[in-house]
Amino acid sequence: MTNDLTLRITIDVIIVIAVLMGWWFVALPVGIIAAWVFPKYLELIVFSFMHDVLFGFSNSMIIWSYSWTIVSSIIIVAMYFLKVIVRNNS
Amino acid sequence: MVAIIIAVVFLVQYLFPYFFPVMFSAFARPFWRQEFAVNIGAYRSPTDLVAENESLRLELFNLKNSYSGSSIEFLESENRELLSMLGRASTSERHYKLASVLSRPPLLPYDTLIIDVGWQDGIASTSLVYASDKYLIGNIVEILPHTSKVLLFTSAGESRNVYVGKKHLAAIAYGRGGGQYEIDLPHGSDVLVGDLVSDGSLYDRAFGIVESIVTDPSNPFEKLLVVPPVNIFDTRFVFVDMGKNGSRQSIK
Repeated sequence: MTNDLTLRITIDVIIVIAVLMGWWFVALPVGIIAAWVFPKYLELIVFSFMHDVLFGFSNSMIIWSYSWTIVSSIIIVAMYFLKVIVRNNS
Repeated sequence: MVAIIIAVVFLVQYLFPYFFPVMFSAFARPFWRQEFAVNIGAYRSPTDLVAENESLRLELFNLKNSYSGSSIEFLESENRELLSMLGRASTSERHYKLASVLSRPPLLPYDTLIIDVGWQDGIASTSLVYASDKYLIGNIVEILPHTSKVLLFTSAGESRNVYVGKKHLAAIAYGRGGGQYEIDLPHGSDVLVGDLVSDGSLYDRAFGIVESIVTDPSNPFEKLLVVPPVNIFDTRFVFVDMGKNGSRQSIK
């Protein structure tokens, strides 16, 4: 894990641009890596919500309209527990 | 704290469903326009553009010479005349608004398009959207001031009444996602690969083409896989139905 703020902002900018362009295949792997590298990478949920609002059908207010938000929340939680397991084993 | 933020965001989204889409699309629109400009080759050198202009002029000149325009005009006037004789003449023509596609599959994870016209251009929700030569491909589902979201009929869960083949068999085309429809017809329907699927309108416009037929002897139905007449993944421009005289009022 790192607390390098410059790196974190750079990664944020990359993910935001990828989300705005609809390049989910860029945003997803970079987001997963960022969730592993940075502590509490909650920006990922915001970016996923942005993607759902831009490209999904968020006005319909059904749960599947927020699929990326749900996926990113799962990734954040999974990474948290994975880090705890790895830390305890090392 | 996080739970409160999430609750506030979803409350805003529920009470003001266009707040976040308008805000985020304002950020995204310059990026989409740049991508569109790159896709249509707007950043090519002036020499290339002049050369292409010359070649298109030559092509247009050759087409004008080969068709002389008269046959198309004759068919159009004949069509109008026949519709008039059958009492279906339109007192006013339907109007379409040309829109450029800012974002489209496969970059988007859904069968959707984002186009550069919104309610400030007079577009209404549920307006039908056509690809080149007026092939019906979808309808508008979300409108923002300057952009709109088009849901393609190929989206999973979408369905549309259509007519299949030379016998005009009535059927329902279900979206499969990924730019394909599927239609179930009983065995022995005499539908062949390459047959046309029409949208059932008065003008009998093409809706799709039968790409393959999946037959299972244990199933009384055969499954037709149908693709739109145009490649929706290559579509750069679409036409939005504005109604007669373009008088459709926008729904804000």
